[in-house]
Amino acid sequence: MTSSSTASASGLPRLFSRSAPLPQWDAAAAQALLQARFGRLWQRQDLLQALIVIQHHFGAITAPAQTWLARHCQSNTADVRALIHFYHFLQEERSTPHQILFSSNIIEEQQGMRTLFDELRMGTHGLAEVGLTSCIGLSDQGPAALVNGHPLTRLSGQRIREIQRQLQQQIPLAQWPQNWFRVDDNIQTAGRLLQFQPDPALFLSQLLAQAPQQVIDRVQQSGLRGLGGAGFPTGRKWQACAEAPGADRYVICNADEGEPGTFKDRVLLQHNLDAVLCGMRMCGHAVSARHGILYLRGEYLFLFDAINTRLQQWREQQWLNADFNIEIQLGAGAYVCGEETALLESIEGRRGIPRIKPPFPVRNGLFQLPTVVNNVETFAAAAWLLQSGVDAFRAVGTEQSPGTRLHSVAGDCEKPGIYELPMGASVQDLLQACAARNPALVQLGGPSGVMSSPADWQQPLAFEGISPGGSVMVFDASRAHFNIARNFTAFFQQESCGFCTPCRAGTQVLLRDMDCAAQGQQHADLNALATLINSTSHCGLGQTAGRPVLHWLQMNAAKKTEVAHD
Amino acid sequence: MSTDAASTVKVKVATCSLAGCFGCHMSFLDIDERIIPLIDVIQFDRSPLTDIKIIGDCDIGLIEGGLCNEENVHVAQQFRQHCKILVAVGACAINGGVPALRNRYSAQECLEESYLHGLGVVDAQIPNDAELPALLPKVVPLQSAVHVDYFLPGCPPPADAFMEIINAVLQKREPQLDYATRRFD
Amino acid sequence: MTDTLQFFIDQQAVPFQPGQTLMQAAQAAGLYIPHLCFHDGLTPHGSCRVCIVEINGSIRAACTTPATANLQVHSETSALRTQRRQLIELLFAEGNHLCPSCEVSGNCQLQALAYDLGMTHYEFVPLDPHRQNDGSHPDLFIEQDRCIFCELCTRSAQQQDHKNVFGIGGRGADTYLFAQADSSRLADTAITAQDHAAHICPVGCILPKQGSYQIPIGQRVYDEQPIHLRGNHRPDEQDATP
Repeated sequence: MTSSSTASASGLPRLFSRSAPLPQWDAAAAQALLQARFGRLWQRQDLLQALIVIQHHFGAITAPAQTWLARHCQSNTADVRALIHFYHFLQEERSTPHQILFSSNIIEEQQGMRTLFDELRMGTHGLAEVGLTSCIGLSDQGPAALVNGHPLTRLSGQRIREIQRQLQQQIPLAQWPQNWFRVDDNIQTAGRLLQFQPDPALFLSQLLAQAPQQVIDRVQQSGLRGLGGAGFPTGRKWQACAEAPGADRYVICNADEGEPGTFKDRVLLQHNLDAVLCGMRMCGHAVSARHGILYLRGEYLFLFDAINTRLQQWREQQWLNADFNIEIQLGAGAYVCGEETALLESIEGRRGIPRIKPPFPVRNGLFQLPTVVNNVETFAAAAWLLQSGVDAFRAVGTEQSPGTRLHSVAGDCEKPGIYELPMGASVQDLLQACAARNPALVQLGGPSGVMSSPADWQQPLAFEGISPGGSVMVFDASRAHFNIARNFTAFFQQESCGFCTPCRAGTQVLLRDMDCAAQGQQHADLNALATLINSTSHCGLGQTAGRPVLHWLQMNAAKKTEVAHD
Repeated sequence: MSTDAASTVKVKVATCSLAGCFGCHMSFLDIDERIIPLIDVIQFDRSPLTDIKIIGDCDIGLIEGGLCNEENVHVAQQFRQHCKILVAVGACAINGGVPALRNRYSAQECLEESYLHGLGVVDAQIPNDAELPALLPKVVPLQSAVHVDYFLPGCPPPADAFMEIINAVLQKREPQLDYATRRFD
Repeated sequence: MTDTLQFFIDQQAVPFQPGQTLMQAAQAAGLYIPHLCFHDGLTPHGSCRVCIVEINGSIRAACTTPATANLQVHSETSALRTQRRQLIELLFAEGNHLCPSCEVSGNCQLQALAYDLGMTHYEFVPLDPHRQNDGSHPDLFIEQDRCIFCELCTRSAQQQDHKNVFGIGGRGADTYLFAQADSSRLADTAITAQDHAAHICPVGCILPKQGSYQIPIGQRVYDEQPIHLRGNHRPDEQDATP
């Protein structure tokens, strides 16, 4: 192996360690790395995964690397660059060994991220590339940043000065203090799912004793709904996939947890990985799929080696085998890839452009084969219900939204972290549990969700109530709603894939015109523009991109009416 | 004459050209003989046609050209303050038009190309007289600085479009631009 | 009674074959739904969103929505016309669409839709793109700042000319059209001036180097006839047999 990939205890090469990037492009080293990554001959559909490995080990995908990659997969370098330019974490040039990207989530912005960002940028003088990136899933322990893909948590002025010293003394990243990289689970309320640590051997014997249709029936009876946000009945999805004609099938775990303020899937992958893998294995059995793919967002690169090691142990135990295997594919900084069809495009090695629906993935999914795409939490919940039974599953939650829900809570509260509550708990319950400080606004389900005010807080967090989106951002009375709406709109603008007119052009114009409005300048009708984006966009990203502005305008209008009535 | 003037209060019209080429004004004059009956009912205030430099209170302001410098913005604001109805006339007023082609470059790059490095430049220097209005970073449409009531597209808008907007104001109705009078080129 | 499959656009019956989209069926029936990225010889795309229609209160793109029997589709409502106009305005604000300085003025489908939908101006702050143009090809020029990312050229090259000529790269605000060659130059691809893909751009992005002003401004396709009557046709388009 090359010097940059050290072997882990399991004997697997550690592909994404904290070693510094190699200074020079080296085709032989690249060849060895890609052999370690794929263990087989790779082709055009693996190009994105290959680019991620090259990026991590060389710090950039430079012109000679592009040529080498293009020749290998019978393409051209313009095609390779087109892909590089789509994914935020891929770059063509690198000026310094270290690259530090601050998470631009509103929570971290309100915790002083900008000051830290400016301080580091000013103080490093070309020692590191310093930039911003969309939420990295650590807003319960922010401000946070990624250095060469690895998370730095709980940043402070003091820590920034320490980082500057490391950079000035050219101390390799691998030697930076370990505790700077500590990622806490911050589990505040553990319900049955977070306590669920299945024994894979027992689980598999229980699973394989049942016919696939029996498994699907149980999931249908349980009323489990997709916990990625949309709430589609899981059993119906599995049934549709099982019935779809196809020589082969895929099970995909969507671990592209990109919705700002959400970090529950990170905790599940760290804390309840076996439960998630059991759920995937269960789905594979139910729909007769042989391939499982866990699509891990690039921001969670630091989990790759641990998950890969665990998968290897599962293989050694024959819990994964020729009947059903699971591999990891990485994202590289693109929120839109959380959209299931964009995710399929990304796995197939292309830019993450959402496909036209219908056809839906259950019929025409990965490589046009029937595919189930479910969220991390959905798979864990499915495994729980198989082991504990339908009645036990339905004993908690509401009639239409049975089970529990993990909430990622951050912002103006004493106890940020993960709260597992029964479906149907109210926002007020959560605010009390997290000891919210003088809450005035609560964003539910991230920027694409809803902004709620005290009048909404008695409503149940359930599919039939107010969005149980998995993320709860608490804002106290001092937070200006405009700043929140602007941060969210900028997020959508940066994450738009660029495919359709309203989302690509509309979000750019919306952001500019918001600024014009804030500065008292002439501007377009923001309400009409945000409505246009929401109603005419191609996919779910665009269809929610206007929401933050609409919520801001609505609440402003309501306030004015209140004042007028006083 | 004096009885006429007493019986009808004429509609006051102001016009100007900002970052434009006066082509729209030429097209306005293409109304030809129709200007004769018009003179009975309208009166020009500030306009290149009258050489009045300071705008008074007007019914209609017609602005040709976009905004390329600070003086343009000032004039646009003055027109807005003094005109009941403000009309953006022509492609340049509406979206910057041909002058907006410079928006690919910075204002400084444009000055350097024109006055320092351009073909045939002699005695190269960038004019810096304090009297000269500063260039805006980009050429912007009229509606980015002031509220505009009506838009006459075209490069230039046809004479019929001018007649329609003035007739509409005289008849106190909404102007109707048909397909032929609504061209962008 | 006939058992022909049909759906309705603004109460008018439209026959369709199974597998057709609303747009394909409407086009075959001679009903015009405004569009830019649709072409009847190419796979549906759904990026321009100009062909939005309303079905049961929700808005869909007619070019990607499968036709189903007895569907009630609303197309020429004032709300939809307004939104279509706003989409056209967004495209104008996004690119270098300064008609007086464009060779295809009068033949441009973006401009023609603006005329047809009653656009006079836009309130949006223009985005003033700044992309690298490509004049490398002997017969064709790419004015990148006018690209509307409809991918008609990409699809036409692949599906009609069977060549890998164009692609779309980057993302969001930085999306760009590129030539499939190491150099990213059009001259290094297999495209010729006779290809379908060289005659399909609906705007002034992919231009022939010769003959642009043979027909004067004011006497061009959409000067003579509105697009809802003329359809989306270039004066020089090639026979559309795939």
